Amino acid sequence: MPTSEDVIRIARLARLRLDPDELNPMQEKFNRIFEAFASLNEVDTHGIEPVFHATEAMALRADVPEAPLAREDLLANAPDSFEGSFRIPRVVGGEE
Amino acid sequence: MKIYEPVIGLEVHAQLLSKTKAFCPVATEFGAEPNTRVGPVSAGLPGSLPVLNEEAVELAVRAGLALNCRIAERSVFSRKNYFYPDLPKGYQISQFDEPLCLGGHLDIPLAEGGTKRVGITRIHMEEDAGKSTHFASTTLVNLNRAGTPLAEIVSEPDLRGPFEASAYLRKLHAILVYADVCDGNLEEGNFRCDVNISIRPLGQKAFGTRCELKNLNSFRFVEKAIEYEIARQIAIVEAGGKVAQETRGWDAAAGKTFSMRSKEEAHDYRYFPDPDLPPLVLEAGYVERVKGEMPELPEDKKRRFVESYGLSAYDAESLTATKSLSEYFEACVREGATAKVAANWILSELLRELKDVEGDVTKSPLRPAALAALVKLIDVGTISGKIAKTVFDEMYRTGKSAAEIVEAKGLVQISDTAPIEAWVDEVLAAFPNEVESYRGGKEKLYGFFVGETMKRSKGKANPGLVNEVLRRKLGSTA
Amino acid sequence: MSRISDLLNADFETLRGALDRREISAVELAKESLRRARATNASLNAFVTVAEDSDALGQADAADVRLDAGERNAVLGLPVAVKDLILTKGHRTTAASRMLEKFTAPYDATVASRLKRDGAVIVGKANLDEFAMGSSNETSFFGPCRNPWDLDRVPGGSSGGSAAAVAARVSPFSLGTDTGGSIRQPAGFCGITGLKPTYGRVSRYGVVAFASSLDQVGPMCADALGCAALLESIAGPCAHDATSSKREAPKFLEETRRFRDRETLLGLRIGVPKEYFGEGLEPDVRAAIGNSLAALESSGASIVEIELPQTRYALPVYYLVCTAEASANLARYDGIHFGHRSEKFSEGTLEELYAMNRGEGFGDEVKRRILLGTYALSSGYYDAYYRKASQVRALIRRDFERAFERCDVIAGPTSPTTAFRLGEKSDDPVSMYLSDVYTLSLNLAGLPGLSLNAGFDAKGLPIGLQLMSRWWEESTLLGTAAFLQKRDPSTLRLSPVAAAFAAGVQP
Repeated sequence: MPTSEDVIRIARLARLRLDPDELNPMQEKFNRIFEAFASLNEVDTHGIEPVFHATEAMALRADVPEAPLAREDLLANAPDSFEGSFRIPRVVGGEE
Repeated sequence: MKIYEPVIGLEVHAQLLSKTKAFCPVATEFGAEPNTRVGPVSAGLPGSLPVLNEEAVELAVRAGLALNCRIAERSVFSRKNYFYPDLPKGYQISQFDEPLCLGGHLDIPLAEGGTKRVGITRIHMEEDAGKSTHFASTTLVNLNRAGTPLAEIVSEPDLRGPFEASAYLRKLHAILVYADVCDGNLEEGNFRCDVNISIRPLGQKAFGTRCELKNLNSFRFVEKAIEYEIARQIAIVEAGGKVAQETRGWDAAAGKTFSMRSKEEAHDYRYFPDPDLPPLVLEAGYVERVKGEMPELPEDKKRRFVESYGLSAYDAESLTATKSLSEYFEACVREGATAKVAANWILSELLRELKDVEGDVTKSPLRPAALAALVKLIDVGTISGKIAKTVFDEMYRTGKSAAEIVEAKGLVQISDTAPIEAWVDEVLAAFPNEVESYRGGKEKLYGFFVGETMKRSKGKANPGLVNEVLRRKLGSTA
Repeated sequence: MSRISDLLNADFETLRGALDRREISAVELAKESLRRARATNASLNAFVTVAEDSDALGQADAADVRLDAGERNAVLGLPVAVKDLILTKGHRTTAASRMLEKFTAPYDATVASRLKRDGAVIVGKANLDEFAMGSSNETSFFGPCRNPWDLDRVPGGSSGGSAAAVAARVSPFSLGTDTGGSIRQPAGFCGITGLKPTYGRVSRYGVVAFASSLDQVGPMCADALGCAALLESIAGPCAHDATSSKREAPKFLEETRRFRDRETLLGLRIGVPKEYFGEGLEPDVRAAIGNSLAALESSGASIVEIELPQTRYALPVYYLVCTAEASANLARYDGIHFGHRSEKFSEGTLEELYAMNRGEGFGDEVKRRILLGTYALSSGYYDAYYRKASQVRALIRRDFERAFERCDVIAGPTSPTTAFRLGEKSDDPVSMYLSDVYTLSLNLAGLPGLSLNAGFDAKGLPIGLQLMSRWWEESTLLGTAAFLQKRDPSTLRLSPVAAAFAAGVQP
């Protein structure tokens, strides 16, 4: 059952901003949902292979190029761009 | 005074040589205008889906085989979830707990002679991210590189110093280029290396805290950074401190590593099998076929050079250090140069000229045909080996052919016995005391006579003939 | 005019026939469809975007040219509404979210390009729950869609707009998507026919992903034959979707007609799962399903009682799997390369930029599901939640494999209730999730399922009958449904909105 610290930590991981007044309702709804999940623990899954894929057949693609998107089309939906690149405000720190 | 040993593992990301990206059917091209090599899939647009490139698979399998790995019949692609502007989907498609290749090795030459076997933990396939460039108040993102297929090759922490690390990288690089898997162009960033390094007191089994060194884009920098880092870590420990686990970059100008960020919270990448990509199952016979079609690898080429050309193991090893060098050598031989002589010229004179470009023979203005022509002149005795050196220098600098230079400077070797006999007579007449001493047993004087003869011929006398004539006229010592 | 009006309200065969005999033109049909769309948009709100006249009529005109030249196919010239989760090039495609409010699709989804190839006329982008997450079309950024049978009630979700468009007869066809029941449940609430194909039957390329291993695009139409026609156009292998099957799609229309025209259903075994008839099932619904089963039996089918013991775990399994996949699928909505970027950000960390863009761009239900999914995958919880759920998923699949040894079609209610009121369930997510309890398992197993109208409750609201079959046997579902609809066309009764159109009255 997630605690409120969990909710805050997960919100960070998921890059979701929760206003302080959103936190409690979210926590409550979470609790409701996880109560419903508790029943899963009853199921004996010993030796059962998990189903991660709906199909087993991996179709590969031949190494033949298709046309790229025209740059105007690619950048048309960008909130901000500059001389052909996506642009974001300079930010401090980050992941690499 | 404690002795510490460095423990080093290397992670190499090699860009696979397919035409199109790993999961997106757009062609890759280095240096293209920003955002002109991007499709819906590599842009991470809504609704886009990955489809695996069969050529990338074959190249990755080839890399695994060339590095003596076991190829997994079934491997799984997983999503590695994190947020960054150059990662449009907010996750990277990679392989996590079921990679394509496991358990390989390669052998490196040691400084003191002999070889050392370095383990390769695993090789897996993944896609590259785009590129973000930071400016004062903005960051620009170019997605051309996003989605490029990579093989990530992880070594066991078996390396014990900068030399070994560099030797591993050079060998790995050569193998991948030989196998036609990767271009190995470090400037273009298609062979990238991260170093994991820690130190521990000699004899201790437990590993020390390790740091990750990133953005080292030449073998030389890798060596230097490792050297610096070893000293840095030892200094900390000796002073009673603790090495902080962090990621560090290399400042080439200052010759130091610097902290980039601490690995404070281990990133929770939330790996899970990518539901858009069913498991990769290699059909029966696939691996055998790829093995059968494998290009000649460095070890095999080295062996062949020893057997077919009679080269020494040492020379063969040096000539096969890079694919381009080995091809240069064989091109010379094809043009008619004798193998051993060509080998000598390449390994001494040519590589000396190429020292500043790390021995990259593709940067030599002197092409194999031209060098072969020079060697052939030596082979048939037109010029002596000594004269050839000056001819070579001139060829390298001016681009003129050997024949042109020899003709222009009148350097043709004199192989006519008559003039040589005349000069020898002159010398023997000029130095009767020395002749007597020589005949009396002072063998060392022989070189003096040779020198004097060569002087009179302005260096052009055929040394072999000079010897013949001298010995005849001097006679044997008593 | 009233001829067109009647035809747009008619069943598929009648409409198709009239168009093919050139009694009407595709342009006339499209004009009426667009008129209806605009007339009902305030009251129904079934569309996020109605196509521009020039656009839709241009497509219709091109279809007429082809028809006049003698070309024929199942969907040529017919208006279709496309769920606004499916990318149609050059059109705004929003996923009913503020995040994509201004997003214009730079490429066509495979299903859209197939519709265009076949000459269907796209008349608009249908409303839905935001990012397909919901069962009532109430989470849409563009406002809720309403049920043409009762404007105070929900049409179901997430393909609410697609269902309403057909139920109001604004367009005879629509495309929806189904991840946990999002085609079937709204089809049931709106009294129309909706099919979720076998996973892999229809390409997902160009469809905004919610849960990759569960999503499927499917047809929604007044009757099964219409669904078969639409399915025929969009189904089949796709090189851009690694999960799409290599199987060539059969001629669904032909196979459905053949099944429909059978004299008897002798030999068809209908499995009835006892788990689907427990508590929570409304009495009127139970009764209507009972009648349908009786109708099947009297037509020669045999009724077999079967067990699907894992049914009670379908809800937690579904919500762990779909939210986990969704949390990763929605990570790309970051306001960097496309999508909503906050105006409030002036300076700060990268993390803050993302959090603001996403915090503003997503509605509550979407945020909740992303958080849930992130948690289910997070370090320390992966095994207990995501992996465990995926194991139970294998057991759910096995339930169906066993059941289909004893029957050919599984039948039951689509939903435990009929359409509820707007706002009735919005406060309690679990109660909302429970409305999908009969439909979820199918997606987990990848099986095909269909909902058709089985009758009406005391309030006059439609009741959905759900049919499920083995993998790849959509024709059996479509055929059985077509058979029932031929036998009892009263189930194809027009909604009040559609009836008003027929009467020439503004609804």
